[in-house]
Amino acid sequence: MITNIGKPFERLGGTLVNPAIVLPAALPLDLCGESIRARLIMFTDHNNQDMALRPDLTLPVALAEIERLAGGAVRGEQVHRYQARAFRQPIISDEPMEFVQVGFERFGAASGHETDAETYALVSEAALAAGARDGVARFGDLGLMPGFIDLLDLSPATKAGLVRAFREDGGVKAFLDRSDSAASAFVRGLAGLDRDGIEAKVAERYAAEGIEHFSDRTTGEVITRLMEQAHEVENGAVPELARETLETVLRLQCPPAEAADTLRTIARKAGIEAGAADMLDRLELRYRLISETAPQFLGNAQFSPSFGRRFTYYDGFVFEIAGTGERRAHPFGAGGRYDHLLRDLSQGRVDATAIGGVIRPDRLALARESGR
Amino acid sequence: MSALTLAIPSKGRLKEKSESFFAAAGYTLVQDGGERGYRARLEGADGVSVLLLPARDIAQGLIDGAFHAGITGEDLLHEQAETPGRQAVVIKRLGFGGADVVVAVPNCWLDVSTLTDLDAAGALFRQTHGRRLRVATKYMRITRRHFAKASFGEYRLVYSAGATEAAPASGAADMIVDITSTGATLAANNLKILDDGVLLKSQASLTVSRPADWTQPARTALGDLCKNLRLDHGADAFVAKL
Repeated sequence: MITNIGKPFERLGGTLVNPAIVLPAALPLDLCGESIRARLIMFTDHNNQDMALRPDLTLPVALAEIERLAGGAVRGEQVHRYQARAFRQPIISDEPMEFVQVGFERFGAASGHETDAETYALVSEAALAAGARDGVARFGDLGLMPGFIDLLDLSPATKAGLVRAFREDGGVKAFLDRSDSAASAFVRGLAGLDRDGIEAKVAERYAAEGIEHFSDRTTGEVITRLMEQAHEVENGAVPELARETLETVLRLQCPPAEAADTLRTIARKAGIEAGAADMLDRLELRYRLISETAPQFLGNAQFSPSFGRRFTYYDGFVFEIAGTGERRAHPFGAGGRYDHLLRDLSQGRVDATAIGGVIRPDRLALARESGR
Repeated sequence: MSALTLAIPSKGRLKEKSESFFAAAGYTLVQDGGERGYRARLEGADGVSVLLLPARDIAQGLIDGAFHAGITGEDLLHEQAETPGRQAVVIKRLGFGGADVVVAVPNCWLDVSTLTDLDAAGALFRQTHGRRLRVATKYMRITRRHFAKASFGEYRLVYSAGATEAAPASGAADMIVDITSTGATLAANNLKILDDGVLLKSQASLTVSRPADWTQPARTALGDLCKNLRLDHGADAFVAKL
């Protein structure tokens, strides 16, 4: 049965790949942060280096694509398909440590609502062909919250802090609440100073307290951050309207067909409707196309701008399809867009749009059984 | 055959203080095979056998259910348990062996006094150096749990079994999470504790193991022991929940 699941993905062309199973653990840990450590199957090699089994196919396939592009390959669309094992520590004990993923990663195709919708439709079609019936889709878009943050009238440091905080549980609220509290006396004493002025204050304090610099983190970095902190003190806390806007977007959960209009209303209240128009149009067009081409799992579908924010690769459209009831927490289909990953992973050496979709046949089989 | 097995630290101040704790209630610790034996009994407590073990092994044994109760550090219980408090339940904090698990950074980082500052510093660091800030610690789980709760994600863990406070100066890591009682060692290594950097206030604790084999005689023996140690409340509550 497994051999047929990836059939719809063949229409994208490309080749079937099976990249390295063993990776340096530093790769997923640097990319996703320590939150993923509890999920990695790790071991120590003969040189005492931490290694990990691939937690999914996206990461090793993206690394292979970086190598291909960095080697001077012709740019343009490239599709890698796979039907291969991945390895993860289960969150709940009845999940296997070793499982198969059937999916594809598509690089260099136009990043727009058509390719977003096509990715979802392919995963939906594959799940349907494999016998899934009672699935429910969940949608998100990890570009929306950063998009709203960017449109608000906030300092660059505050914007950057909010975008980071968005990816952490309870992060935005913690960040906004912190903005209200007072900065350290030292930082408040720096208000109004330019870089040279702050540098002088830092030298003064180092001398007074007998502090010597001894860290890979340079004094230049310390000064840059002090400038940003002093600037935030001058500008005061995040204004009430901006705060309310962010909290409303973050909390939003609605049927996907209503998402664009609801967000337009929020944007209008915040006075950023014009700036938000393009991303909300894309959201609307994407879902319209999805409902026309792949209506199967949309019955009780939900949309939320914060859905999927813990999946650190993704930075745009994201989706999951899961069974109902107790299978709801174990999606059998998933996918999303990660246009920035190749650039970040290669430290800017290569850059290509990216989107992928995947089926978990083991979970699909369980969802099918419990749906009977 | 004893009804209840109790584990207490096998050496150092923790052992001495544990002995005094039992002596105050009229129990004398008698080691089989003299000072070096690892089996003992409490004179005055029939049906209780004692194991003398390293504090780390006691924490693990309590989590696994290898014995009924024991005295160990809360830092070890929090570090070694996937979900602290689920398998090993503290019924009495004993007021000795106190120390804090703290986050400490180089004192030259004048811009960093909270975890939120650290997150921003870490993001800029990653942009500048192409890697995340490295945190040296032997408390991998406590650190990960607490940093996730504090929405701080810009770091990588580096395991450090000892002399952790030297890691930033040697370049093995950028900052540390370590245990300290006075903070003097940190200061001597030019490190400062963050304002919100106390992750755990730990002390030696009498702890019972939920997954241990709780026969009726074991419950009775724990109840009797705790009554004499004047810990009725904690033990009752625990035995009632078994």
